Amino acid sequence: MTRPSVLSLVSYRVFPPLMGGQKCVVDFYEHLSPFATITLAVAKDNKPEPKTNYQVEPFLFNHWGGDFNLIYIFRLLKLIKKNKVDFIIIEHSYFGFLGIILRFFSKKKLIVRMHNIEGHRFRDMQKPWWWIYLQYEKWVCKKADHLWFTASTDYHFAINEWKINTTNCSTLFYGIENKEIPTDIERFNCRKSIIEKNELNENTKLFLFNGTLDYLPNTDALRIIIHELLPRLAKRLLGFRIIICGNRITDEWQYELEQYPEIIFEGFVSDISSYYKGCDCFINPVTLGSGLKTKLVEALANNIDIISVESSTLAIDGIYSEKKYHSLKIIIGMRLLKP
Amino acid sequence: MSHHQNDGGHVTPAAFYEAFNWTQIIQKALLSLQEL
Repeated sequence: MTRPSVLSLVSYRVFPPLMGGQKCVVDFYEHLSPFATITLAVAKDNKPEPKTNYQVEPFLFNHWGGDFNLIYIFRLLKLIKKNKVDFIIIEHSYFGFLGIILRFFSKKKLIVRMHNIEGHRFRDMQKPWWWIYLQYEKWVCKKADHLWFTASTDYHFAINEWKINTTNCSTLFYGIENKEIPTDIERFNCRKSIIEKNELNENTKLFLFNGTLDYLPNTDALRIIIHELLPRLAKRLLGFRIIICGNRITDEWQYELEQYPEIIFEGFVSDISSYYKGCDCFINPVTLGSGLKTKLVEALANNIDIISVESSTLAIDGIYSEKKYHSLKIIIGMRLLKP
Repeated sequence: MSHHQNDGGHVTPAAFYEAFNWTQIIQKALLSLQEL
C-alpha cells in the first residue's frame, strides 16, 4: 500500500495533550505520522504544538456547536482534495454526521474511532436525551466503513446489540510508552521525592487518583473518595494520604479537598508517571462512563497496585480474554468494603 | 515482582506491554486501512 493520507476530525481540545483522552488522540497520530500523511481538523480552542509532525487546522466548532460545522464542509472538502486524502477519520461519534456528508461528496472511506459508547456515557451522566444520542450513534456506526474501538467491551456491544458486521470493526487500544516495569530504584526515588515534598513520615501509605477533574465521572469519583473511602480508610489505617492529581478542578472542589488533611491535592503534574511509580496504590472509584480507562492502563504500565470498581475494569479484562491471555484481575475491593 | 496476576492465572509484564504497544497498534490500524 502506498503511504495513506488521512483527514481526521476532532471535536474538542486535544492540544496541549494533558489528560488520558487527549493523549489517546494526539499520541495515536504522532505514532501514525511516520507511516501516513495526516491532516488534523480540530476544534478552534486547540493550541497545536509547533513541533507536530502533521498538519493541524484548528477551525472547527466543538461538539456542542457541531451543527455549525456545516459551514466548513467546503473548507474540509478542499483539504481532502489538496492533501489527496484517502480516509476520513472521526474521533468519537459526535461528528459522525460530518464524516458521512464528507464521504458523500468526496467518495473517500469513513472510519469512526470509538473511544466510548457515548450514548451510555450520557445516560450515566443523566442527560435526558441520552437515548436519542444513542440512536444517532448507532446510525453513525452503521454508516461508517470501519469502526475502531478502544475498548473491547464497546466492540462487543456494537456487534451484539447494534448488529454491526464484525468485518467492519476492530479494536485499537490505548498505547503506552513504557517498555518494561519500573525498577525498584526508580520506584524508591519517586516515593522519596513525594514523601520529602509533602514532609510525610516515610512509612505513610500513598494512594493515588488522577483525572480531568471537571469531567463528571471523575468528579463523582472525588465524591466517592471523600464520602465513602476516606472514612473507611481512616477507621482501618493509620498514616495514609490520598494524592489527587489532575487539571480543571473547580474552586468549590478544590476548597472541599483542602478540608481533609489526609488528602493532598497536587493539581496538574507534568510527569504523572513519577506518581504512579512512587505511590503504593492507585484507586479508581469511577463508576460512570464507559470505554477503556487510560488511567488504569497507565497505572498497570507502572506496575502499581490498583483498587478499582469492577465496571471500570471490564474493558481491560476483555482485552486479555480476547488476546487469549489469562484474565487480568485488578483487585476489585471497593464493593467489598462494609460501612 | 509483577502484580499483573490473580488466583486464576497471570499476565506477564511482557504480554501486557505487547498488548498496549503503540507500534503494534499502529500496524493494526494500517492493516485495517489497507483492507478497506
